Amino acid sequence: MERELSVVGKRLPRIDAPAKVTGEAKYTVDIKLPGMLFGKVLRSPYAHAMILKIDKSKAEKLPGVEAVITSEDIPVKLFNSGLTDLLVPEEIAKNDPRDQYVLSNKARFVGDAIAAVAARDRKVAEAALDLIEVEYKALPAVFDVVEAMKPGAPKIHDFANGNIARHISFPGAIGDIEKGFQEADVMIEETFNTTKQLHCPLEPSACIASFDSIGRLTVWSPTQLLYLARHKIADIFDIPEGKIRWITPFVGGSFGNALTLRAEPICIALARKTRKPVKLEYSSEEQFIATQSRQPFTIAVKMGVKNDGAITALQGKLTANSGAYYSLSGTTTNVCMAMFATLYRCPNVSVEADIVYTNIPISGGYRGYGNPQAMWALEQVVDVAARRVGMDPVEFRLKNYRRAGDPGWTASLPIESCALEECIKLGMDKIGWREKMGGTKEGVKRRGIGMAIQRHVSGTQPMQMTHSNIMIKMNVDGSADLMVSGCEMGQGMFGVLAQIAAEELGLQIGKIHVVNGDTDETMFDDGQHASRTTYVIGNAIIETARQVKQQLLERASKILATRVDDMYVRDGQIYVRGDLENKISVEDITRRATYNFEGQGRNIAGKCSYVPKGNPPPYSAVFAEVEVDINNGATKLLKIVFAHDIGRAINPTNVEGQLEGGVMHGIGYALTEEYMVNGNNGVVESDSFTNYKIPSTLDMPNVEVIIVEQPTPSGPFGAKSVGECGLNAVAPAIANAIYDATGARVRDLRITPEKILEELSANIL
Amino acid sequence: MITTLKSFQYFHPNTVEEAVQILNKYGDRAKVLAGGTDLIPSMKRQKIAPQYVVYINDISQLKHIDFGAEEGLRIGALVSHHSIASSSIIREKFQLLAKACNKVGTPHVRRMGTIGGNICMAGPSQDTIPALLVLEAQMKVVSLQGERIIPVDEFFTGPFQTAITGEEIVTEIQIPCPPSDSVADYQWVTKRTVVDETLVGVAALLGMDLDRGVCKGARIALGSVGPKPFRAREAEEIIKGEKLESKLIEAVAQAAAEETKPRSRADYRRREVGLLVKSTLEHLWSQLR
Repeated sequence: MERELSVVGKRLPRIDAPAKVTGEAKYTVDIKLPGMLFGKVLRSPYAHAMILKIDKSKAEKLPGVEAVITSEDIPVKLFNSGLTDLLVPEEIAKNDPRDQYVLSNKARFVGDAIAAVAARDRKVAEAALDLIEVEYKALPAVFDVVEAMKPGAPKIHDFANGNIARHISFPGAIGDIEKGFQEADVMIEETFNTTKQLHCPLEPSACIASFDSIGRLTVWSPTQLLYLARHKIADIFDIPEGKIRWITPFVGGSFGNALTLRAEPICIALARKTRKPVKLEYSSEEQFIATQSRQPFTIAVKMGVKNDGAITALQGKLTANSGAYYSLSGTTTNVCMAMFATLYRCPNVSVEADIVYTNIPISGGYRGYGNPQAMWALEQVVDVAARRVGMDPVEFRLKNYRRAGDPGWTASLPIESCALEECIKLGMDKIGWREKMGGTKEGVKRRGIGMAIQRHVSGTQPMQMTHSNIMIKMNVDGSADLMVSGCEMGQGMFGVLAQIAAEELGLQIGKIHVVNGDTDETMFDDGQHASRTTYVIGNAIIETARQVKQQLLERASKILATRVDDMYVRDGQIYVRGDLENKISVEDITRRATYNFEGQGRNIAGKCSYVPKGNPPPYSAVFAEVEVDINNGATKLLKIVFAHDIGRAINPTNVEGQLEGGVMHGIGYALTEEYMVNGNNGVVESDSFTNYKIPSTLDMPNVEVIIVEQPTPSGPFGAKSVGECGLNAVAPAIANAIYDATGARVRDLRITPEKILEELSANIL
Repeated sequence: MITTLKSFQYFHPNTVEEAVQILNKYGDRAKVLAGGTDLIPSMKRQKIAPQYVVYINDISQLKHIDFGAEEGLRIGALVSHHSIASSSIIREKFQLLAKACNKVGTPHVRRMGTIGGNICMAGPSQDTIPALLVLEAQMKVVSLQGERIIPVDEFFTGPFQTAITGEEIVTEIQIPCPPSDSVADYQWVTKRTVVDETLVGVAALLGMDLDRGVCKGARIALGSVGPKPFRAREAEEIIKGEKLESKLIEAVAQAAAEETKPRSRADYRRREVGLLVKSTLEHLWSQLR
């Protein structure tokens, strides 16, 4: 019998809302320490240059300047600014190049950090930057991956021949690709390009670093991966890890931007040099050019299909633009390849990728990781294939998609659950698929519909090491402190985890206090990545809560003279089954446990280390309806229907918010966002919200979210993940709808009116 | 990357007379600060670093909207876009100006930014300018030496360049009443999103000869398709004395497109000029018939 839930599944208000609405919520930039200095970074104006000489004497003499540092003042240790290489053993991690210093001794993109200043106030720090004299020797630069791989191209890193940082063959390749092509009745060959999308969090990167009198370092920074950030910083600066306290205040949005080190190493280097607290805040422009972005890919696809719609072969050749440094390029590429290769059943699969250095800002990981890039190509190829064999694109997908019991990313972990068919059925009804699909198209404004699907992850099991460590301690008033190393970056983690804890403990939501993000107070967690929080941390909380509940019940059993198994906790009361009158409050138990005058004193508490047992993938079906003006190529988005296979919605309002937000990112990816780098000098032209356009509410169509709840066996109350799913398949759904409306197939992001017109005129001729 | 302003000397005159005295002294070394929506970001990014900043927004003389049947409309230079867009007289008699002002920037920018500041920035894509061109506005400009009137099509001399000197300020925009039996409209497309810079803007005014049932004359101004917004005179000529039938509208649209000199996305902008001129004229003609 399914147990009746009293907290989980409810549309509760966000528990961090009052603090955020009133301004009480503290972000890193709000924190001020006595005697704190302000840091500023000198960045290269050249896309590629040798640094011949740096004269910092004038800057050092400026009153108020406390330190000017260059690559000579910092540890000579190469590192990878991405943090997730710490989650695989060294023999695997070492495949990803460590190619960055805290400050560079050679400029590899416009914006590369060359020197840094700490001064008593911001103005002095800025003035000091102007006084640092750097003698550069400009080198030829290369911005395009094809150019970068040509013989004689400028060499960006000495070890990377042809600027190829790494070649990866997808380890899950199966069958014989050539045999698969031969068996096909229809061959589809298409090449797609994706763009360098920016996360655009409201809060730019910031850090405060402070060493105390015994040399213990405290860092405040908005990172998604608290413990990993600490681990990497300890290694770079050779500081014993126990001597670093890392605090993550509220994070003002991240979307994957804080999966790497950003301002932290430079800030810590300045604090170490001055032995004073230093704050380093990136400006909005620095956020645009000096952090990281979604990795652009060229994806060449070859798919073989039988006349009955069965896929016989799928080949992908990927070229990824890593930018000037490697960062998260390897893991992003791996995710892209895996998502591309394993969404559909196919006996012959091969995917190869080259990751290439260029002199543009760094690429890394962004909500969806490599999945949106993979879906942009794959979900359009599937649309093409379905039409070629005369099938409805929905039927084609239903025939071929990998479902429960099929291998997922790895054969070792089969797909645990899948409600894609239900998502598709409900989504089709809502958008009016059968009535609208493929209708005749006339007039200037042509309507069309399209769809795409996606499958994502609930964490990284078994690809990476992953575990969550939770503590719950009861207070004497019957409330609970939940101590968890996660960050609240707007995703709603506080509320979701509190709802899970409240449900399992049998307490009201207001009795849960979440303590988060402080290595002095909370235990190891690999962090907020791969949409893992609800599934992994949620399960860890349930296990911890059960320990706590057991202690409560054992004490209650003595008082109520009932067996533990015959009692349950609900709304803060411990009841005896079948006897509602025979009860005692949790508060009574916790008070008597702590203020115990019979020598049985104890602070009721629990802790657990939880390694996820599974990785149930959430599926989504996205439907888009568009109206394209064939005179000017303008696309108007009329409607998005998004059906999501969540397992269980812990808080349906929060699920809808996550998905709508993801859809908005997907719409920006498809239609408005374009990162422009000057092809002559490498200067980033999209360095502000004036010339890098994210959609506003005025650009949003009506978005209808359908939550499909079929609880997954290993999930907390049956829940799977949601965080990244909203955007993965939005762009291809829109592109497929544009094709349906006009016959124009746009293969390169962003979809512009010009590209649609070009395709249209090619079709007419 | 820089966010702090370079230091400067700051003045906040309360009258036009005080303002022009200061400007007379410092000329081009001074910058006039009104709403600040363009100047402050430019200073923060150190695109400009004036030694003197003259804040004129406290000058109450320049915040009027007056209308008379004879003298037409008089708008003080410090009236915000929002005030223009929500003025009942402007919405009634100069609807395209209200519409153009409501396109500028974002709600915040429209409340801070002023019409005088907007025209003095003189950007090629600024939405108020095509509307002022077809309304044949003129600018009242004041310096210590006195005042002068500059017709709108002489006011803009190039991208971000105007005919006023560093010693002068614009105090008023004067707009004559539109001809009787005329209608006007402003249409645009943006570069990417709804709240975005204008990719192409078209303002048009059609005067009607009701007795003969033909178009007496037309004024068409194009924004964001050349170094400065301009009147498409050749296209206008085609309309004079004609009925606006679809063939003629096509010819006008093509003529207008040929008068443009876009710097980027040129083919697309030209195509869009043709389409927008066409849709604007069709819309206006349908109102007149």
